[in-house]
Amino acid sequence: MIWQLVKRDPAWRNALIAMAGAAVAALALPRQAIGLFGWLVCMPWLTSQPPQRATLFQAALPIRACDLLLARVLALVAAVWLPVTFAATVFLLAGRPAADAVILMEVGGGASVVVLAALSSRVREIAGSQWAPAIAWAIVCAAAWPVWRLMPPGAVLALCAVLCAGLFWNIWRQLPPAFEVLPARLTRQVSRQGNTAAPALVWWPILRSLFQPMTLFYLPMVVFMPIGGQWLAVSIFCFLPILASVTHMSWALSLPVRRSALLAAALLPWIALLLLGVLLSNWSAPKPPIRLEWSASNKISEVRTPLEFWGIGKAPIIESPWGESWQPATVRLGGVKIYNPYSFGPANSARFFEWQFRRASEAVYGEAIDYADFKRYRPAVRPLTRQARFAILNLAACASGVMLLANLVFAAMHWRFRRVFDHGQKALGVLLMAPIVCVLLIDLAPGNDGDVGTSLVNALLLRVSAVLPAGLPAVALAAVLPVALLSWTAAQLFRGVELPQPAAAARS
Amino acid sequence: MIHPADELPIYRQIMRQITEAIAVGRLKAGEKLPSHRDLSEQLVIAPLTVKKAYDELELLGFLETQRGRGTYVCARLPQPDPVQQMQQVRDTARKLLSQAYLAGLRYPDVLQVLEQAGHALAAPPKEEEKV
Amino acid sequence: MTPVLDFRAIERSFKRNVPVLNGVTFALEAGEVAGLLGRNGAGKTTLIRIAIGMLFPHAGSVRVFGASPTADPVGIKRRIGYVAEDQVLPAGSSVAELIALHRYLFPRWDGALERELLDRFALPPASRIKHLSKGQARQAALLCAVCHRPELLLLDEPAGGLDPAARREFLETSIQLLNREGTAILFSSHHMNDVERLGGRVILLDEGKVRLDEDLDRLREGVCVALVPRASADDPAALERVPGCLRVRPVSDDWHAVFRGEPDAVQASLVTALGVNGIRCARVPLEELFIEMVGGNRGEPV
Repeated sequence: MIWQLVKRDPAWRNALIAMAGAAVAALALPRQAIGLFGWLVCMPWLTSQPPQRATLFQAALPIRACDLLLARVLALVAAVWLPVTFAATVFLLAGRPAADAVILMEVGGGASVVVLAALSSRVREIAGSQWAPAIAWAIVCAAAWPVWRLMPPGAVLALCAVLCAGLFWNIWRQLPPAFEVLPARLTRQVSRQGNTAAPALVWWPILRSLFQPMTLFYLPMVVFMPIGGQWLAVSIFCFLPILASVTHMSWALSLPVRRSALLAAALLPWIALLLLGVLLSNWSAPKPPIRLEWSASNKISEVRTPLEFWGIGKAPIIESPWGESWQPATVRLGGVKIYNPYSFGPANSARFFEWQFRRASEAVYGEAIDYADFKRYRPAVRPLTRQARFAILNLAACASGVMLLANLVFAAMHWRFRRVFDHGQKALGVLLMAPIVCVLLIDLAPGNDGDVGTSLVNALLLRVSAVLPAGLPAVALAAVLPVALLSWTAAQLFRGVELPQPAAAARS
Repeated sequence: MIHPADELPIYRQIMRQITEAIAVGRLKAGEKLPSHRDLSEQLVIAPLTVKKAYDELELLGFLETQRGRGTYVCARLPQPDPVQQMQQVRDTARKLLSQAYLAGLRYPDVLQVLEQAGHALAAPPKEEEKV
Repeated sequence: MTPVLDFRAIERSFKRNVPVLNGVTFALEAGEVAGLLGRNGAGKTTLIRIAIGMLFPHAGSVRVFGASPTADPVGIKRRIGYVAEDQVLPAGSSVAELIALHRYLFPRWDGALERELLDRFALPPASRIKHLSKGQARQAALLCAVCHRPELLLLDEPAGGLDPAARREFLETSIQLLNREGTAILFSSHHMNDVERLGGRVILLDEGKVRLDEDLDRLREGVCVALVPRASADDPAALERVPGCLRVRPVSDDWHAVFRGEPDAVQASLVTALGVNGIRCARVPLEELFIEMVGGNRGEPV
């Protein structure tokens, strides 16, 4: 019977979809982006009412509370571990190092802790506090980085197991024979002569209806992940809390408030957070972009710059001024031929190597640096991709990405679109997932060292930066224009958007 | 009391209650009736319904409206409408017959009862005989 | 006089080829009260949402105060009060916060009316919406919708699920608004007693069209229902041929037919047409009329 309950749990159904996505993500994402994998693994849990132990319908049936709880915990834990084990298996089959597979398992362990912690509040009722999942998530995310650095892999898994067992026992011992549906604690008796003074901010009710507690989940991801460099994927995921706000906007739309104001209220906080994260990532200490690396595929040492500085097309022969030449190896990345213009061959002299290094540093930093100087002390220059000019373009690209998604989604929710396409909502889901899948698939291309998607955008932005005039104001203007245009079109589209109505109004 | 689900529309119920009150004497000639708004808020019905009832009664001659001062019961009440009275008598007769049949009486018994009632009414008032 | 609310040939569907509204046309003048009746799924909520601008008609036009609701949404919404059964107020806000928001958004806010209604409904101002009962939450919504003295009040099954006392208070408040401000009211309800009390016009929606659109009292007095034994007529067409017939439906051993006219006259014409006795004809209250006009068929032919 527990199996019957598990089968009907929405988390279980979503888990099977998440398995596929997790496998793709595990292969595609670099090590730094492991947070994103954790987030994907938690998606089935997030979308199935995390604090709820049983539905109202189940609580009315003659099933014991411990059975309901067991079924729910089993479904949620399976929803976490099925994708994780599937991804780990695919990982190992694809020949990745076993240490990375262990990292995936650790992510699964952390997710299990979050899942159980979210179920731990107010055990006597059918659903815990709405804030419990958000708090649990925040604590585990904050603790994840230091724990991962400080403890050996096996110990992390053991710690998670112990925590899970402890949390489960805590829930089990508090379990009543049957769940209550009302708060067990009495709410305060509020007197009629309560304060009628005007609250500080008149707009609180509208803000409360737009920002439900569940949107807190996206907060750590949107702020912290760009710092790790994953701002491209985050620009896309950032739209999900915006969409959640928009779907809850129905009450506010019946008030005499401008639609564009409501849209701005839903969009701006998340875009601001995203841009803050990108800014922080621009200023945080990056790894030196130029490395000397042994490239296993080419069997040669090379001056390795980030992908955005590579050349496109078949590798030409590079001639030094004094006559030495070298043809770099051509690498195919996702069907496109690229080459590293700063590599050097076994027959080349040290002088050639130093000349290549100066060329590379000129491309990356904007000024030529000798290798000897570079090795002795880190010059106090920032790479081009960390300078203010590039940062402005980067911010504009992120904001444009979010606004472009907004335009697509609002077009799918527009009443004219819905008149023609019955399944507009499903089209919406596909539209949202398509860019994410594309980004992941690009990163999945063979020969990849990670961050290919980001490098692509960086390369594009570098070319744009080269075309624009020198001063910062010109760059700022060029950056603001697409964002402003996309915002205007989004506002126009939003005027015709029809929101899906609350479920209770499925009738006329 | 107003019954929304009654056979009569609400405005007719008001009309009937006002005419009955006038007939019984609860409402005297020249007495002021509550305004549309007051009566509508009191009975929880639409003010236009009250207005319709008042207008109909005014057409029939029971009420008169004085601009700016309100609605009053007419000093001289109209003569009863013979057609309407006949209809009322027919209704009462039907009710009497159904009641009698339910009690097990037959038509000749009812005629006998009516004859007795007729005698009682025609006789001098000092003979107060119950039917 | 421009009508306050003007629907012209509104069409709207949610699935392809399944129209919910299929050519609905009517207009509401200032100070008029109209009750929108119809079965669940007949399109009443859709129509009211089109009026307030949350849904867009696929064909036809809607004019509120003479302008399209999407042309100047803020200006038009300032003059409308809207209460719906499923309109979810933000659960974490307190009543005082909601009132403060509405006071800010609507310039014509009437503080005296607000205090009076707060008192009458006995709403604790500092309590949050999620801690109020359903009736109290609906009353809070009504307060917010009414205290700015709107010119048009749109009520979408506002008394659904409320106890009779709460429903009566709802009515009282609406009638008070009607008296004081001459507000036009368009409301949809399943409680026929409330519809009879509020009076005015009755608009019956069925299968996407307007089946009836007349004054309530004229409807009550000008329409009657005839009960014809099944054996007297083989199929409804025999009854439908009689002039004045609005609808016929089978109910166990009888045909229930709705006719325009006096009961005696209709009975006479039916007797002439069918040549049988045993036909009963009477005026009916609104609830019975509603059921006869849009109810389903019951019972198989004997």
